[in-house]
Amino acid sequence: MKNRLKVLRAERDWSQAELAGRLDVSRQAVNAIETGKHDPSLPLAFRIARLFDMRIEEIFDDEL
Amino acid sequence: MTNFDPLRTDTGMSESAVMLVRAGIVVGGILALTFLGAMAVGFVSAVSEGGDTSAKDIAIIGAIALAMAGVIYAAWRFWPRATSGEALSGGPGEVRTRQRQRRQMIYFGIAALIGGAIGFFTGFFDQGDGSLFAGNFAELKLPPMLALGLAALLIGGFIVLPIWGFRMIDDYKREQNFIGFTGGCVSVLAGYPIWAVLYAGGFVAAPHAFGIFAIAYVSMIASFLYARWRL
Repeated sequence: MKNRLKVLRAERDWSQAELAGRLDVSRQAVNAIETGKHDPSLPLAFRIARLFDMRIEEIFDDEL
Repeated sequence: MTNFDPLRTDTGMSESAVMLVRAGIVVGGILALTFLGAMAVGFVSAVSEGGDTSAKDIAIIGAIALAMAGVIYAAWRFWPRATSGEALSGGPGEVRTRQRQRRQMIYFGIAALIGGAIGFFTGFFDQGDGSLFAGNFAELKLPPMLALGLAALLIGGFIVLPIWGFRMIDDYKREQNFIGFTGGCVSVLAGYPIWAVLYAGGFVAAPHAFGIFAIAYVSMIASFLYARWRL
């Protein structure tokens, strides 16, 4: 699934480790989500959406 | 570090201190690597020439190899910190990430200590002619109290630690671990009957407990590594 996580992270000048810590996941998990290798669970998708103050479908898109 | 991350070059140490730390890491890493390589070559040549490779020797060599591997791993981990100031930078998220990494290091350290202790004590105090790592493990004789202690360590290493680890990791790593465990389980389900029929046909030696354990363990590690780097 495509997503805008890398762009949103870059806009805030956060490293992958910074975002991982804020989401309470490993840096490898952030990298895997950014590169589309791993789809986050629903609870994690909600945490990501809340962190960026956006809706889930504004970050993740299965039609991109 | 991604392309989006700013470069970090301030380590917070004086230039000479940074050079000293770098030199220490390089020298320690090279020495440990050389020692480990020489040990592996020596052991392989001793085995191939039919030399003495008793369980006690293997225990001592294994313990030293584990320590050297630890030094190499520490050098690899500390190098970025000594060269980029990574440990001193970042916001609250990076602090939490480093705490998570520290917990993981403690976990791996405890796992390595338990594994090393089991291997070392088993080999060093073996009173029989058997080995945990061979088909003749039934001839292994240990002092009763040591056997009880090792059983407790094995419970810790194979039950308590994995459960603790599963509580610590996130969904992504849990998925990798599930693939690893599945690979190990499937290999045993298929491996034992395959081994048994091949034995019945006279192709291989009779199945033995450690062989089955090794199939499970190696398959689990291979499946995990496949999931880690390919999926």
